[in-house]
Amino acid sequence: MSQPASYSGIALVTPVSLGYSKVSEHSAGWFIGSVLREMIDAAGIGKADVDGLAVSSFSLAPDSVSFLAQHYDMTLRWLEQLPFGGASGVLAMRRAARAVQCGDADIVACIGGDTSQAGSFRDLVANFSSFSNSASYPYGSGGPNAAFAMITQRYMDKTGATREDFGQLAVSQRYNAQHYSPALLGDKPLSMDDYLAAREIASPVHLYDCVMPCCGGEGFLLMSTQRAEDLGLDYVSILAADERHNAFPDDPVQLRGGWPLFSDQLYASAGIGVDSIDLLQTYDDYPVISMLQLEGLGFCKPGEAADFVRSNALTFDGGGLPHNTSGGQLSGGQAGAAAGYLGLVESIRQLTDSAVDNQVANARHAMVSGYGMINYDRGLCSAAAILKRGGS
Amino acid sequence: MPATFNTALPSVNGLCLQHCSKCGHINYPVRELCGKCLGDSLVWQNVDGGGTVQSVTALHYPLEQNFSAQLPWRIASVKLDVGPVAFAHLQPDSVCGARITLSIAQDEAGNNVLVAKGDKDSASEWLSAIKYTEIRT
Repeated sequence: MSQPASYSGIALVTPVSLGYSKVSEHSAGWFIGSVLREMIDAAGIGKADVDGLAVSSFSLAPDSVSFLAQHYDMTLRWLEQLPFGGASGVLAMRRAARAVQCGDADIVACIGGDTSQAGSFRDLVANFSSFSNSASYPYGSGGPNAAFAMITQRYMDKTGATREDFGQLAVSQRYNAQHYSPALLGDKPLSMDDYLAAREIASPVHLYDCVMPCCGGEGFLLMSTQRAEDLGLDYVSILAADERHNAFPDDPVQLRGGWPLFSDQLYASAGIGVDSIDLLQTYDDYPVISMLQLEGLGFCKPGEAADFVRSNALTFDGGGLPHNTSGGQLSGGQAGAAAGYLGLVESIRQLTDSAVDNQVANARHAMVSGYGMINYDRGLCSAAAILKRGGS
Repeated sequence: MPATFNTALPSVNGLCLQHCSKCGHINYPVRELCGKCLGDSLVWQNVDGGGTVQSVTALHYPLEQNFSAQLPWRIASVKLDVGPVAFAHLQPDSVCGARITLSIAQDEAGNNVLVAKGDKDSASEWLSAIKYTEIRT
């Protein structure tokens, strides 16, 4: 199998997260355009300098990314719309990087943005996909809670992981969220006792295993390192990135995503080992999925993530492996497809020292993982990237 | 109002799934082309409903009224002996690892859905308790 070419010469800049709240009167286009405005301001460029736009949103319809060009009065030469849920950020980054490397665009804005209204989550779940409509929703109408409850139960049966192990992730992420002001649940402390005492939603999934649907926007600009340096911007480089879709289709229940199919090559391409990863952002729609990422990306062996989270501090300042340093979705809220950019945007903040109260000390390398699209019984998209602080 | 679902399952006694007359693959969830060979030759065929429960969840907050009569509502992920994995309404007392029989039944709203029956003696009691009817053809 051929391997992805180098991502050298590419810079990720101007991380922006905004607009997090439970519901909003605004449309998805407001969130996406607001992120764009903030990124342009932060970069000190004009709107006309942005010639590529990559967008992910569950709530943009009936509009699409091409319509946004007119909304924002921009003439663009590269467009991409990525309906990949939690994998959207890494996938947008990969495609935009190739566009800039090949001269198809100079500056690409990569943005995830979604609005949220009362009842919109139900509408999304009830009509998510044809498989889901015919073979998942009619069985209890539990939405993702049902599918992930069954993955979680199977994982516990197979590995011996306990609720307290999942709680390690949730509790440490809440601690991180308490140091990141936009996180929606950052003002509510969560102890292990609170976690364990929560009401059951879909056994064995309890309240603090579930994300809170919300609205918000996340984005970054992607350009050449030369351009970033000319603009005087702190930037992050991509050492390696890859993706797989519908990996291991014959596994009766998903106990691994696509990561084991490319993680060895990812480290080889990056030229660093797992020990050199200073912080990890997983896609945490449920704690069990973060466990699958810890295993699939080589932080521990398959089935041993419970041991890993018991023996490693996961807080941003705990000296272990800082994980989901802004609180992730579990404590920050799941802003639709923007949640697929959250970990990437937070990593760019961390590696440019622009995190505020949750800055990881001396972070050089970050692993960002994406996971998304529960078509039926499992998430189909897996992606990951290793990022490095820019400059020498 | 109980919701209407588009399960696309036929009104047939037992279990009936899409069989590819070109490569023999049994397909589920319902689709238009064979997932194995992409052939356009799928026909509904009665298949063995035997399977093993892979995982179970009990839902406390269904989004639709159809499931509020008996909470928490239990569903299972079942690996069928004939190949596919299917979600199904699960008879009480059936647990992970249990052998079950999958068949099509009709709920109160007229939806044809998959039910996973464990203990044969009490299966019809369970179905009538949740107001599901077995399809007689």
